[in-house]
Amino acid sequence: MSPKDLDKLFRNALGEGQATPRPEAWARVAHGLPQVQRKRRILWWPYAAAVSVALAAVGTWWMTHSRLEVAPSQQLTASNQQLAASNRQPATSNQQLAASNRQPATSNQLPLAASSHGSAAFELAFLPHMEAELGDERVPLLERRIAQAAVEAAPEFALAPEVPRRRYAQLAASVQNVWAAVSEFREAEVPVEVTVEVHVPAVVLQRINQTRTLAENLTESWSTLPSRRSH
Amino acid sequence: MEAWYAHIHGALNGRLDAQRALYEALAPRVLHTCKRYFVDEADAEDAMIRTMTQMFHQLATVREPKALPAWLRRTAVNECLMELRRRKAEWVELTDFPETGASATDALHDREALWALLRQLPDGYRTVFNMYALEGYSHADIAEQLGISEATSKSQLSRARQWLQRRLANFSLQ
Repeated sequence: MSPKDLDKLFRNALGEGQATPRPEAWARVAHGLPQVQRKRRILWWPYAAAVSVALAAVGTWWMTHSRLEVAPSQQLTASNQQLAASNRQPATSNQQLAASNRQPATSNQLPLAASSHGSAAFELAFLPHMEAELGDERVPLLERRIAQAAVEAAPEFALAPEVPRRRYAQLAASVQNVWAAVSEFREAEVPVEVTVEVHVPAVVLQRINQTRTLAENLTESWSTLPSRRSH
Repeated sequence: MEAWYAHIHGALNGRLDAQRALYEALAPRVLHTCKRYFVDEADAEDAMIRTMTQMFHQLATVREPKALPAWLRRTAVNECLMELRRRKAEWVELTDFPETGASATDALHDREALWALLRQLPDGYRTVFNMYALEGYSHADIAEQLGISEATSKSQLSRARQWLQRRLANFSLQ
């Protein structure tokens, strides 16, 4: 038998073949199996969403501001003057109050009077008093605070900004519309539950809360003031 | 397209059932290859297990399923050689063969008889014969893999052949 034949003989017989492993062998292979680490994909879309939301919020905020500053409409300037006038009015009345040491209950009627000739008065308690900022700079800060505190001291009169910015006017108008619709539903006794969701930009909401806490602080400090004065 | 191709993806994802299926399909071939290099079947099983473990670890680097059997065979041979080297199997030329009687069988081409003959070869001869005749390595490859000279490889092969031929002649005479 030639060497080649010998090789061929063995190759044909043993070259390819299968030998069934013992069943126990798998356990040893399984023991050494690689621990698959799932690839951690970096999810980009949450970041994109966050950035876009932030941009939208900042953009809205900036646009509402810049629109007021760059192109103030005639109506707005006029209303601003009215605001200044109305701001000054309670302030002076409060000075009178401080001088005459009258009860604050009577002085609380003054904002009501101011509201009667204000251009737009809203009875919505949650609308922020942001317009105090826009008040006439000539009115001293303390007086303005007193005026606001007088407004805040009587929550039943809780006056919304008498001259809201256009944005707030729109918001308030839409809220009023919704409220009117809801109350119409109620009057018609339609047995429907109405859920109203008002979506306000986060920045605006933050500003509302800030203003509210500021107003509350002012009210507290104001309420402690007369007691000290009486001693 | 073999049936086990379908399990590669699952095995890559760490699914145990797919890994098991892949093992069931490929381990017998590997074990067969390993068994040719060792007298003891437990050694072959150890080499098979190391090969399969290595396969699961490097499965991601295998580009085509088609190439996997050849890769496995190569890896199995390497594992066997590593084990033989670890045991310091001597590649020196033996002048005296162990004259253990071959398991006499009438069927010359009986695979079991050939298995028995192969097992009776000394480690060095068997390794070289396996690599050259059955795996198709060249003498240069064998020399490099085993750390011996080509001349040694050649002489070991020829001696292994001589020995086997003598045994086969005995069979045929009987």
